[in-house]
Amino acid sequence: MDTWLSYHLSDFMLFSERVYWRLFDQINSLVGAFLPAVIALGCLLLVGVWSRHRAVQIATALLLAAFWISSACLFLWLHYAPVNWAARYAVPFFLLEAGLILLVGINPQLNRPLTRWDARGSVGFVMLVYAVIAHPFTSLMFGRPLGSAEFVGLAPDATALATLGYALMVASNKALWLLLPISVIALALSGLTLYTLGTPEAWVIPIALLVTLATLFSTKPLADATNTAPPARP
Amino acid sequence: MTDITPTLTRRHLLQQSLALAGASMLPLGGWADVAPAVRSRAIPSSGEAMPIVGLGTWITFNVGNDTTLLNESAAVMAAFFEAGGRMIDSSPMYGSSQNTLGFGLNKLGESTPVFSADKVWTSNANNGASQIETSEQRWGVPRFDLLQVHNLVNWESHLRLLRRMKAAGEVRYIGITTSESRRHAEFENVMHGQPLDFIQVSYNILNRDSENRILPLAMDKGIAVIANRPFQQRRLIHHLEGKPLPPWAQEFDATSWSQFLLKYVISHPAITCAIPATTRVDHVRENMACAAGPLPDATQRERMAAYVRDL
Ligand SMILES: NC(=O)c1ccc[n+]([C@@H]2O[C@H](COP(=O)([O-])OP(=O)(O)OC[C@H]3O[C@@H](n4cnc5c(N)ncnc54)[C@H](OP(=O)(O)O)[C@@H]3O)[C@@H](O)[C@H]2O)c1
Repeated sequence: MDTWLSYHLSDFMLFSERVYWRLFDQINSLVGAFLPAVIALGCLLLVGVWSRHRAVQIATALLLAAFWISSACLFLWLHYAPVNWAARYAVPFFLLEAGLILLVGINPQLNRPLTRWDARGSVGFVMLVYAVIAHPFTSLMFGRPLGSAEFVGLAPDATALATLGYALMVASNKALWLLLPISVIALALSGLTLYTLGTPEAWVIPIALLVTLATLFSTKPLADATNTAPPARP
Repeated sequence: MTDITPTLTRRHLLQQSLALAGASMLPLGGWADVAPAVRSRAIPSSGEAMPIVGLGTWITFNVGNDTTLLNESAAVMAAFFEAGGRMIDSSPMYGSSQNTLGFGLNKLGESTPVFSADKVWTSNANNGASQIETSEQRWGVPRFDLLQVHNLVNWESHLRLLRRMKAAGEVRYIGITTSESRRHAEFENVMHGQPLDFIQVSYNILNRDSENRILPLAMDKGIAVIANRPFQQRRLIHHLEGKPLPPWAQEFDATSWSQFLLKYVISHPAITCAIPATTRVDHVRENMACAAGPLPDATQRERMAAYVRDL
């Protein structure tokens, strides 16, 4: 009977599940009337990743980078840090991720060829659609009000999930190493937090991470944009 | 430690406290009139009466900027004072809990009978004083009633600081805390070697490690004891939910598992105050009701512990 008296992971948790989900309520009400605009901007990502125009590709990267900055400011800094002091240490990494997304977005050499309807591109697009459109509704699925839904651009998990999708679709093999580490670590830490809080949604993140890794390891590395010239034949 | 029985009115207790503490308490206000008489124990170093149930704030009061939850916490504090409670415990480690307390105290007005217990928790000896100052600002109190070295972190230098503060009248009582039984030996050494008004340890019906040496030593040395984690962070209550409360719990008016568990803790004669944490007004009332009713005696306590152990 005293085994459960020994230390639990939850002993290190400073806040309750209720407080955690209400952080999203607060952010969503802070954005208020602009929430539909934020959702619409998220949907633009779904269109932007298919574009062959440089300007649109750069704008798409800019938008995703802006989403990392806004979720760092609105979620981490303004709302999460007061209940979890460790959150403020994540802010520089979110800003760095925004910078890396821009770097990849504006540098054609870090993009993969636009043959995105392959396995990696398809999984990436599904992930992006999930993050932008389906992830907010997981709150309803688990009995939370839609008010605490997590939207891309406001909530870090949704934004990081969208970035996994974006990276799978857009980034060259090398650029994956730039885009994935921070997103994967942010999601892993968040997954651990949700697991410790005992919330049933905790399983969403490991599944997304497993799908990403499985896709990367099971698909043949594609030639990067710079290597797309046909091999020279004698 | 002898009980100060609930025959005294709350106003009397506070007046007695004022006299004993050199008239250093907050002025009496509306709370003293609404609060029922509750069982109190004397703080050995001063004789000041302390209601035996207090309020913790770990997790429960870490609500950030959420106005709804800030107001809910203030309602818990109001119910706590209304039921005769005084001691509230917090720490710079508890996220925004200190700010929540400041919000609540400000909302409830200056006349609350709060006994403010906070901690110093920094590994850097030079940061202790500024951390305490920040904590006072967050609570909105001019000085704390009790300051404790949290989990013995850097206790030598922090206790030196607390002793200096006490001598200068900047804090009324000083103490040390731990929630880990494996640190009891070191804890005991500090109790032996340092002048302390309070100690704070984890103590509940299944975590009885402090019964062996710490609690008897506290009684010997005249140190007040705060019992934290009376419900083992609710795990005890979860574990017992759905299991039958023994009929003999009626003998000491325990009508729920939480009261059964809390009465076990506060009936130990060495305990000055137990500090269950809660987010709920009904729970704080239920907990405070333990301070008003009868408590189990030594034989009943053994029976209670055996019953829960065997479940
Ligand atoms: N080293 C240290 O200094 C140290 C270490 C640990 C704790 N502490 C202090 O001790 C305090 C108490 O410990 P704790 O918070 O860890 O655990 P605890 O008081 O044993 O348990 C708190 C939990 O019990 C539940 N609860 C309270 N009253 C209840 C009731 N009547 N019926 C059902 N559930 C009830 C609360 O849930 P609801 O919100 O649903 O009521 C809360 O989740 C802390 O808040 C902190 O101030 C200090």
